[in-house]
Amino acid sequence: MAEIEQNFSFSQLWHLGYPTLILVIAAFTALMTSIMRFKRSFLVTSIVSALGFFLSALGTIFQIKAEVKGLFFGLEFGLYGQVLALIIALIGLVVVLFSYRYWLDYEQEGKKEIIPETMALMLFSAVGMQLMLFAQNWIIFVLSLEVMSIALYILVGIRRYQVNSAEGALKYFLLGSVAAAIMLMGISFLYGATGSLDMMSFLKAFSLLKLPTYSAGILVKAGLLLVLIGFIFKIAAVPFHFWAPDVYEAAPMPVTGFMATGVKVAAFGAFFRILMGIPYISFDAEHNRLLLNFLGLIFILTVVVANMTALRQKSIKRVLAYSSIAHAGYLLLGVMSYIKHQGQGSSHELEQIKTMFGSLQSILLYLAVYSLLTLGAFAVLTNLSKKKDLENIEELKGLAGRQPLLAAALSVFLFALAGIPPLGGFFAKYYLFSQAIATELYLYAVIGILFSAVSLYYYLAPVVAMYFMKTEASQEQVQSEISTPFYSKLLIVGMMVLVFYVGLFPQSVLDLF
Amino acid sequence: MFNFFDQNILNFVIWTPLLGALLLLTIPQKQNLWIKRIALMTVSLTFLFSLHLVCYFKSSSGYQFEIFRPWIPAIGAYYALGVDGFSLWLVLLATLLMPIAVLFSMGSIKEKEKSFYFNLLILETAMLGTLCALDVFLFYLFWEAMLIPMYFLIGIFGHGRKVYAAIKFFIFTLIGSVLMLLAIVYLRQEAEGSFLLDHWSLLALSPQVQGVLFAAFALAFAIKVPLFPLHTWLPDAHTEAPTAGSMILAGVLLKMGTYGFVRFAIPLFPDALLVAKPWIATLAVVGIVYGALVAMVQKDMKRLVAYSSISHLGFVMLGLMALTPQAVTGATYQMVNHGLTSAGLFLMVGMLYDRTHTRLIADYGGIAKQVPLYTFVFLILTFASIALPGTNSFVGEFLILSGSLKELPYQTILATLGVIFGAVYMLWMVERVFFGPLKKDSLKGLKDMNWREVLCVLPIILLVVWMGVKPNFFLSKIEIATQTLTETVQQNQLAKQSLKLQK
Repeated sequence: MAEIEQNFSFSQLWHLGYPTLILVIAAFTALMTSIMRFKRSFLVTSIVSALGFFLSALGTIFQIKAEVKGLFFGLEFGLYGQVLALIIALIGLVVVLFSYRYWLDYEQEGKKEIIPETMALMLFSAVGMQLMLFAQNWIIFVLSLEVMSIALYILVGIRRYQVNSAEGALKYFLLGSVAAAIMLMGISFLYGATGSLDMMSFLKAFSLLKLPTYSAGILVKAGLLLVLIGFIFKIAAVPFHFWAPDVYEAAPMPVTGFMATGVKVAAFGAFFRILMGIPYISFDAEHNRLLLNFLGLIFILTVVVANMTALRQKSIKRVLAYSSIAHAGYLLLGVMSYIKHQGQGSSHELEQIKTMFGSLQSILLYLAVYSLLTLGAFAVLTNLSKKKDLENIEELKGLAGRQPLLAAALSVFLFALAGIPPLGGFFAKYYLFSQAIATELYLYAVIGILFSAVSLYYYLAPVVAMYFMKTEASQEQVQSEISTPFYSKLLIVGMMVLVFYVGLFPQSVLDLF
Repeated sequence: MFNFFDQNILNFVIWTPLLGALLLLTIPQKQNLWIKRIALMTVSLTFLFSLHLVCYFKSSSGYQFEIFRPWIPAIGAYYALGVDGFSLWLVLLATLLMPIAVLFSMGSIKEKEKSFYFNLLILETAMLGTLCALDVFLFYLFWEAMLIPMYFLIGIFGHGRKVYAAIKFFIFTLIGSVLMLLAIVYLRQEAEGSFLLDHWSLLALSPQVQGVLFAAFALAFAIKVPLFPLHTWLPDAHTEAPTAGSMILAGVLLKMGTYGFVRFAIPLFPDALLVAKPWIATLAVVGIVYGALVAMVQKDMKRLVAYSSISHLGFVMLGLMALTPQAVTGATYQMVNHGLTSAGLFLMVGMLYDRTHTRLIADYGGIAKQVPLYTFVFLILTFASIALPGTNSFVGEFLILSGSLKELPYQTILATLGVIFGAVYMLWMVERVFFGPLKKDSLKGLKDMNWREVLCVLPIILLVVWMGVKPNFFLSKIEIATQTLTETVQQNQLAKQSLKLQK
């Protein structure tokens, strides 16, 4: 496939990608202000980062309103990528807001060296995430994946004086590199089969598979399998999930929140984007079934293993890690229903487009709601982690008496993650499962929903500790809990209200997508 | 003005407690007198609103006081509320028990009042919403929303193994209802994107599909009832919950299961019901006998009352499965009766517990002389529980048994055993607790009921007698709904038979 000849024009780039460019500018500015080390330099850095994320989000909204779309050197800007990029920018904004105090505590403790770069790294990582969603070309895709990952490797190990933190970072780096290598291998197979690095041309190859003379079929299949494995690693689905609990535990609390949401949205968005390209070329039933069975296997493994393992966890971060794995599983169910829609033939083309749109909508809604809930939980936990990250669920004992607001907020987020109505998590889950029922994935839906009921048990564990257990907290602990800044509380209350709003009036949220 | 009130009466009834709960949030924890006052005023106001339903309930079939507004057009969910003969008395039962629960708790809950009354009020909104929802999506939302406040009530304010009981209650009921959610999703699709109960009852489903869907619905409701062998959460939850929690749990929450059968499982899946009927009735009878036998050997009074609930709810299920107008009317009546008597008994046990901090039967004995008024009230409730003529349960159980005899002869005959056992365990407990010589000197100082406690039980006692002596006022409103229900099921069967004949 001939690449479209393009002249590099800066105005064109700005027109299409200015939200991402704003993040790049903010990242470099944050890096500069953090290097300069003047008085209150961290405050300035944080403001720059927050502003960067905010303007990027605003820009994306303008772009969505103006329906900006176009191609630019292996990047394809369009509505789908923009919606997810908006979610990523908002995630970044929220993380910067609730983590400011957390980092400042480290600074006051005299561990200056770790502070300022975190914000810049978060911005760089977000740039990678956004580009990943727009990538149209495999090279661009791999580059943006690495931009995202390398920044995260550093962020995980940023508390370098702590052994377990360094260990987690190294683990993440090694396993992430292997996953990237596997993915690259797959991409090179696809390149070998199709002779093009364009993502869409690989999709074309699928239609060619049907031709008996086409000999590269095995290459395409193997390539696709390897790429899928790479994605499964990134979204942390079973059996490539082992890194997640360790890395989540090692990373500082806000970084864990950022990873649990941002990486999931970006990786899932890119993964789904590739699958979305398929309907435009006819995709035959056999390959459809093969893909569906493969994903179905991963889905069952993920939902079962993640939910069962989480039951025995004592560390709150590990519980949330397994929760994020389990939610990746539920999202896979949405993907499966989308693929099933595709495979159902086009006898009623309009009907098919409508139902496929429903699947897409359900996945986007789920990603957004999942991010909101997980970020909310991490916002509360970050506010409880002064000087030392909150590790054990036991440490939450009696919190309801000392910090009623934070305890209530954490309970709301956890109940919503478990999918209890009338909270937002319920509607998102309902919508996802209703798509699965619509495509007759009954068995998968039953397994998924039963294990999501099981998940309630581990989501309840922190609630039990906070509300049902009494313990005399140490003076130090009480001191650190009292100092929750006002704007953090406001942010948490805002997110809590949003959770209720999504649950009770989902129509207005659905209209956004 | 009146028109507006009349048209929105269900909104007033359902959302007043929630508004009260939100108001509570704004009051500082230290002002516990105001917290109690606001809670009591809110629930009393709700009760007054619900009286409007009785006064203006017309004796005609179909739903009344309907409210119908679009809610989530994307999935076709409506904000649809309404009341008919099945739900009317249950709504009133809930709104009546709430002020009693609050009034009683004013004396027994002495810390964290704010969170206690907050959860209680949220629970009331969820319960009333469940009873009034005509849109199944709305129903499901309220249905599951009931779990959270109850979970907190048991977990924070309960006794003994409260954490275990709270989690068990929550997870048991949730696992039951998630499968119902999938069935709801499926039915919505069959109904072309509508969640309305009226549309669903017109669906023509094949018997196989009906079987699967009925199983999903019945499982959710049977856990709530609870039907043997899904009852294991009940003794724990009832025993460990605070008194107000046990009252509401036994009085209203258990009825949600039987109400679910009447409202959804029976009318929507008549074919599947025909197959499942003898089996469920048998389980109900096993529950009746088993609950009674286990209640007999309990050492803890509260646990005894809890097991008696399993037995009594078995009668309700038996009546529902018989599906004759008489039996279904009796079952609906018995739901209210059991709500009153079991709530009353939990209340009485709670009063004793507040004084002595023990619920073991062995710790009492011969206290009748110390607390004559208490003993008198307890006896009346005992008579109501064992269905002595003149009490409300007699009417209910008589209707159920005489209505089911033709349809389910063996089960009904066995069920009468439960009536006898019921008398045994209740009277035996009364004898051991109240009569004979005074066992311990420490019981000498036992105080009789104070005015607040009398005020709590008075409405229950009055209703027990009123409903036993003049049942027609209540039954007449139920009967229309039962007739509609049994007729739809029968018509469905007739249609099936004529189809077979044609073939």
